[in-house]
This record gives sequence, structure tokens and C-alpha cells, in this order.
Amino acid sequence: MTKHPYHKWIHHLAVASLFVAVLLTIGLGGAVTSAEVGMAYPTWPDINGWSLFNFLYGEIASEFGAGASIEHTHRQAGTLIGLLAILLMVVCLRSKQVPPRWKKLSVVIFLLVLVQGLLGAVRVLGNDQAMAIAHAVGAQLCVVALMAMVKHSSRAWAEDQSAPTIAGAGRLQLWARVGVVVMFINLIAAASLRHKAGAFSGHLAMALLASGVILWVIRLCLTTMREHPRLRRGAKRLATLLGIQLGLGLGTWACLFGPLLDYFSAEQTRFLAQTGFATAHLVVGVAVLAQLTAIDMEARHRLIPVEPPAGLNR
Amino acid sequence: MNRADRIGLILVVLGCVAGIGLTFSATVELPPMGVGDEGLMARGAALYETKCAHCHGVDGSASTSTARMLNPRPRDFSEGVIKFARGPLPQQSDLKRIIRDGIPQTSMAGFAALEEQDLDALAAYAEWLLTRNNKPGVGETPEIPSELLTSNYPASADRGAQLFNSPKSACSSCHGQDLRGKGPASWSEENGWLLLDAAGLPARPRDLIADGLRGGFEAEDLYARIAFGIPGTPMAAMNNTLSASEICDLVAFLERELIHHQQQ
Repeated sequence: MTKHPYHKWIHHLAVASLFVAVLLTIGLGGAVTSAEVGMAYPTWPDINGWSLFNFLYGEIASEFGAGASIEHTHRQAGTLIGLLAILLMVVCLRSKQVPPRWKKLSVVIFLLVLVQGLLGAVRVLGNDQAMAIAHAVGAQLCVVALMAMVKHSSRAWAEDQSAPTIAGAGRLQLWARVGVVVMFINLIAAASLRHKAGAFSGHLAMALLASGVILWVIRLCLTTMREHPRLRRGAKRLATLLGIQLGLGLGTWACLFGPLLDYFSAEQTRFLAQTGFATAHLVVGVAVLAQLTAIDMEARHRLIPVEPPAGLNR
Repeated sequence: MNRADRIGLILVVLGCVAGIGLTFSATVELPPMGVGDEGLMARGAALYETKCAHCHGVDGSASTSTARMLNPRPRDFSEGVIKFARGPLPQQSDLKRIIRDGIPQTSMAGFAALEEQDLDALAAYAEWLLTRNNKPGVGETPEIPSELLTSNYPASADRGAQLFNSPKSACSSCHGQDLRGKGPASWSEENGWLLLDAAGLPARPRDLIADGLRGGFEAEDLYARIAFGIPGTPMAAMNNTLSASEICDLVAFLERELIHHQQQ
């Protein structure tokens, strides 16, 4: 097995990029879609001549409305993740002891972030709903790539390079990868629903399917990976995230279509509850995908499956 | 891979196919164009619901939460007027132009990607929203004297400059003598913006140099803004105060100034 070094700064940069991507860029992007203010200002990257690097949010809100201010902060967060991706790529490419795989991954991350920015521009300038969905889905790809970088560059990954041979590892490898794919498809269904191009029933069906697969992955980790504490910890984290995500999904449904629709008498309160639940549901959904990616990588690179004896392949 | 995993995998694939199918098959399908006004309206209504309702509201009253987060507010169709028409009352061609091109420097993006028949359908539905409360709604476009707009340009622009700053038109009292949108009637150092629109929100006169023009840059657009005003704002119609040739003088002056500043 190739020995991986540990580069503190690359790891810190990757972690910072992941957090900025999920909590700021995707969080604010989710808020933009939840509040339906993606087209609050159909110019890009400026807002009617106001620079992208203007931080007077109050003035922007009073001049162009709160919606423009939210969209503006999303674009700024996108710029920040762009700068972090450039920095990460430059550090990786210039470091001598960095494995080639990291270098390639850093370039992939930069290209994904670049394409994301361009998709956002095309979406706004062309007022194109399909591009909005592509922009939302592209964000998930960025998260998967960033999570891969975080995992590869982590101290634990560098220090513990043992790959134990565990019965059931092949099964976990299979279902963790299936889980990532199903979760990704579910996020496409969710993005389509949020942009009024998909039906709720589709997202519900995909969410139930993804939850089933994730629960199965968690079970496999907890029951067959007793000697692999990192996978067990990861599975517990995934279980917690899944629980929160299902709760938020239920809350979002209740606010948008269900009993809570009439609970909030004031329209503004109802709107805030709907926006808050939907955005939190999106952010935690992305976190579930990221955690699932981490488990998939751990299973794929840190486990060696036991080949079953011939004739026992039931 | 054992048999249980194979079966599980097949079930997951089938589930994904069903999920994707449900996602994209149950979406709102636009009704076919059909024949006559009924078909046009049905398609317009469906398009409106997907493309316009989240800002303008299902009933066109722009009372949505999203609308409250935008400045200027999206049009409230129940008022029966639009701001940027080439006449005192909008024509369907005005509605179609705004839907296609949008309104610069507002949240109203253009829908240039829509096909011609869909633009017609949306314009027809917007017209219905404008007129359904027995408001004046859509009307005939008055004649804009195009021949006057292009004749004797330098002298006309000079006369327009004088008129702009005269008490008769009172343009500079709101837009300022330098056209930057801060005149004595619209702005004060102590109180900021002084004018309000029909909704009670601060109404800032255009900075004619920096802001550009929301209603269009063509001479006919400028003529219509001055002659017929901007409904719902303090920009009053001047066609009763000024003659057609005087309005043309103002248009010539504004065009000269705009071109001059663009060149700078």
C-alpha cells in the first residue's frame, strides 16, 4: 500500500473549504432557493454596478431588497470557496511530497468550483431554471470531491494505513458506494422539487430509498466492523445526521404542505419557518452525503474484503 | 456478491427508476396551445404559475413573501396599471416586451428563452390579471410623434435643456439640474428621500446618468415616460402640461445628455 504523508496545511485548507462550501455557500444558496430570490437581481457578478466585494449588506438590502442581499452573500461565499479552491490547488501542486492523487484531486476540485460559478452565472443571466437545478446538483459534486480531499489529507488517514482483512468488507464497500449514488440521485430529485421542476412524490420515494440504504450501511458498520473504530464512529455520526435529516424533512413537509401550514397565523412567520426548515434540510442532506462519502472512502481504501471460499458464494 | 446483495441491488435500481420517474413525470405539464383565447389563457395560466407566481402571487397581487424581499416590489396586477407602457394604458405589446426583455435594474428578469407563442400566452394572462377587477387595464397606444422626435435635433435639444430646468416642466426639481436624481423636491441632506410611491415606499427619482432607464432607451420610450408618467410613482404625466413638440425637445435633450455621458 502507498504510504501517505500528512500535510497539516493542506488538510486544514481542505477542511476549511468543506465547511465554507457546506455551511456558507450551499447554506446561503439553499436560503436563496427557499426564499425564491435567486433572481432577486438578474445581473452577475455585480448587483446593478455594486461590486461583488461590497460588504454593506444593510445598504444593499435597503436599495434592492433583502432578497438581493441574500443572493449577494451567496455570491460572495461562492467567491470565497473559489479562492480557497485556488489556494488548495496551488499548495498541492507546489508541494513536492504530495501524492499525485492529491494533486489531481485538487485540480478536479478547482474545476468543479469554477464550473459551479459559471453555472450560477448562466442561471442568473439566462434566467434558466434547468441551469438552476444543474447549479444545485453541481454543488453536491463539489462537496463529494472536497470530502475526498479532507479524508485523504487527514492525520488519521496518514497515520493508520493498515488495511485489515475483514469478513463483510466487500459488502460494506458495495453498499457504501450504492448509498452515495442513491443519495446523490435523491439530491437531484430534491433540487428538481425545489426549483419546481420535480414532484414531491419523487423526492419522497428517493428519500425513503436512500434512508433504507443508509440504515443498511450503518448496520453493516456497527455489526461487522467491530475492529474498525473509525468506521463505527463514522456510522454513528451518519446515524445522527440521518435522524436529524428525517426530522427536518418532516418539519419541512409540515410547514409547506402539512399541519404546520395553518399553525403560523402571521405570513412572515410562516415564511421564515418554511425557509428555515427547507434550508436546514438541504444543508444536513449535503452533510449526510459528505459523511457517506467518508465511509465509502474508508471502506474502499482501508479494508480488504475476504474472498469467500469457492462454492460458498450464496 | 452474494444473492441477497444482488437482489438488494436490483431493488435499489428499481427504486431509483421509480423515484426518477415520479420526480419528472408528475410535474406540471403545460397545456397545449389549443385554439382561440381559451387555449392561450390556459397555457398562459400554467406558465404564469411556474414562472411568475412566486413574485407576483397566484392572484397577481404581489403579496408574496418573496415580493416583500425585493425592491422595487414586483407589479401588483390588481392595481390595473403597469409602469412602463408606451401609453397611459398598457398594450399587450408592452406586456410582451417586458416579459421578454425584463426591466433593467429590477428583479424582473427577461424570459427571452420563451417561444413567441408562450410570450403571447403570458401577455394574454397578464392582461387578464390587469383587467379582471374592472380596472382600465389594457388600452390603445396613442400616437407618438416619431417625425418630431428626429427633426431639428441640436436646436430641439437646446430647447429641451431650457425646458428641463424651467418651472413649466419642473423636471429638475426632482431629477436635479445635473440629472443625478437629487432635486430640491426629492432629496434633502437632513431628511434623505422625500417622495413616496403609491405603496408608501420611498420613491427615488432616476439618476438619469448613472441609473439608466428602466422603461427603455428608445426615443419613443422616453417620450412615453414624459408624456404619460409612471403610474404609481410621483413621476406625473406631462401630456396635459407640455405640448408634443415640447416633450420631443425634452427627449432630444435627454438623448444628447445620455449619449454625452456614455461617451465619457
